[in-house]
Amino acid sequence: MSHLLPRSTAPAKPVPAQAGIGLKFDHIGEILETTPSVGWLEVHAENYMGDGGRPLELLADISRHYPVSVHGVGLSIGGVDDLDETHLERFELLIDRVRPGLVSEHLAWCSIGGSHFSDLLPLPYTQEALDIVVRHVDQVQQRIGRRILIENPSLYVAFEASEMPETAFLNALTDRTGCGLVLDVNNVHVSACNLGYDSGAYIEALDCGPVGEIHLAGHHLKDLGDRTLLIDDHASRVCDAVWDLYSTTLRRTGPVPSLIEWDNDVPDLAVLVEEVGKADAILETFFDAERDHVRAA
Amino acid sequence: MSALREFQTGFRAFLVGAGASADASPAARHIKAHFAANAGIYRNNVRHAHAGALAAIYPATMALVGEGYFDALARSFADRFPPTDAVLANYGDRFAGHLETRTELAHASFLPDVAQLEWAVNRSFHAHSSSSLSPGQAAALFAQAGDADGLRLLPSARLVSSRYPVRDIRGAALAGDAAALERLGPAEQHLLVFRPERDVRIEVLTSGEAAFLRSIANGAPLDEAIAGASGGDTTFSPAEAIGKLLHLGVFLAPTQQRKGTDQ
Repeated sequence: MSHLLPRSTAPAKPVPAQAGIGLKFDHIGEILETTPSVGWLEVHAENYMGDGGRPLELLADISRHYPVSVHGVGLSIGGVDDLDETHLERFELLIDRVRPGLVSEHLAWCSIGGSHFSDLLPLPYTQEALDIVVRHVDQVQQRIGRRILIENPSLYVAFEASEMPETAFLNALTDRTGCGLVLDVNNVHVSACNLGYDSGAYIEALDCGPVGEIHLAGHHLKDLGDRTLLIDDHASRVCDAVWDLYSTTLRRTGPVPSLIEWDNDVPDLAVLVEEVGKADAILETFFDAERDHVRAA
Repeated sequence: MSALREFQTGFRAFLVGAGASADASPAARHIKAHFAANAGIYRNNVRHAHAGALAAIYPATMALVGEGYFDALARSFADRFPPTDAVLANYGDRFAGHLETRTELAHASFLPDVAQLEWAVNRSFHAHSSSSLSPGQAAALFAQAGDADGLRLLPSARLVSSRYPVRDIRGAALAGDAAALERLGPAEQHLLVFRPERDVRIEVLTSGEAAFLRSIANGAPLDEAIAGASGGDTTFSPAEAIGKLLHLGVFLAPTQQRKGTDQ
C-alpha cells in the first residue's frame, strides 16, 4: 500500500441525527454543484480503495461539504477465515484519510479460502460464530482505533444450527465488543417476512442503546406461487411498512442518523432528496418529543 | 473441521457450482429445509455482482456484444477466475485474455483489444493522482547531465497498441453509433491512456512515440529509448516527440519521482 496518499489532519465531521443518502458516483457532480439539503453521505469503503485517483479526490471534495460515513462491505466479519490483512490495511488507510463521522460493517461473511463473493452471506447464530465475529470486530476496532457499527443482515434462509435469535446474537456482540449497530429497518422487515417472525418483536428484543445509525431502503416482492419472497435490492422507494417500522424503532432509539440506501436502478438525485425529506419529517417528530420530555421534566 | 467452516466451505461450493441446487449441496444440511430453495438468491446475487463489476469496467465491450451475451461471458469468466479481492475495481484483469479463448468471438478479433483498452482506462482512473513534469522542470532536468535519464511516466499512464482503431471503436460503442462502427476498418493504433489532471484521457501516438514511452516506462535510459524508437519508426523525431509528450503532461514531476511511485 502506498505511503503517498495524503492523510487528512482535519477533524472528522460528526454525522448528525438527520437523514443522509448513499453516495453514488453518478450523483457526485450534481451534489458538489447544488449541495442539496441532506444531512450526510455514506460511501462504500471498497469503492475508495484503489491506489488513489479520482474516487479519492471526489470523496475529499464531498467531505468538505458533508459529514461522511464509511460503510465496509468486504471485511467478511462473519467469515471463518482470519481477516484479510491486505484488506484490513486498506480499510485502516481509508479511515485514517477520510476521518469519517461513522464507520460500519456487516454481520455477514463474503470470502473464504481466498475467494470473494461480493455478497453479504448469512451465518448461523451459534456460540462458535459469535466468538469469531467478536474476535474480528475487536481486531477491526483495535486496528482503526475507534468504535465500529455492525449492520443486521437481510435473510432468505435460517439455520438448523442456530442457537439463539439474531437479536440475542447482536446484543451479545455489542456487549462483548462495545461496538454499535447499524439497524437496517428494511432488513428487519425483509428477514421477518421471509423467515416468519414479527418485526416489532425483533425491535423490542434488541438492545437499542448501541444503535448509532439506521438504514432505510426499498425491496421488491418475488412471487413464488405458494409464497412471496422479499428481495432486498435497494432499487425502489421505502415502502409504508418500513416507514412504520422506522417510527417504531425511533421510539426506542430516539433520533439517530438515518440513511436512504438506493444502489440499483439509481434514480435522479431529486428522488433521493425526497426520501430524505420523509425521513427527516419523521425524525423531527422524535426531536419534538424529546424537547417536550425535557420541558415536562 | 468446525461447524462454521464446514458450512461456509459447503456454501462456497454451492455458490460457484454450475447447476447444483441448494438441496444437493453439502451446505444444505445446515439450512432449515423449508428455506433451502431460497439459497439460490445468494447465488444469483453473487453472479449479478460479478457481472455488474465487469460491466462497470467494460461498458464498450458490453455494448459491442449486447447485455445478454455479456452476462454469459461474465459468468464463464467468473467460473474460471473468481474474484480474489473485495475491491471489485481490481477484478477483471484477465477478461481480455478470456475473450481471446472464446471461439464464437473469433470473427471479432478486435474485441480483446477493446477490453484491454477499457482495463487500461480503469487502472488509470484508480491510479495515484500526480503532477506532470512542466516544460520548465524538463529543461532543468535535461540541463543536468545524467538526470535526463530520470524521466518517469505518471502512475496513471498506460500504453495500449492494437491492429485495430480501438479508441474509435470504444468511442462509437459507448455512443451507440452503429454507423460509425460500420465505417471503421483495420488500422493500427497506438494509445496513451493517462490522467494528467482530473479525467482519464486517451491520446493516439505514433509507433515511435509508443515505443519510446514503453522504453521509458521500463526504466530504459533516454538515449536507449530514443534509439529503440528510431529503429522501429524512421519518422520518429526525438525532439518533436518529447515536446509533444511534455505538452500532454505524461511525465512525472521530479519532486514526486524522488518520493517514489508505483511505476
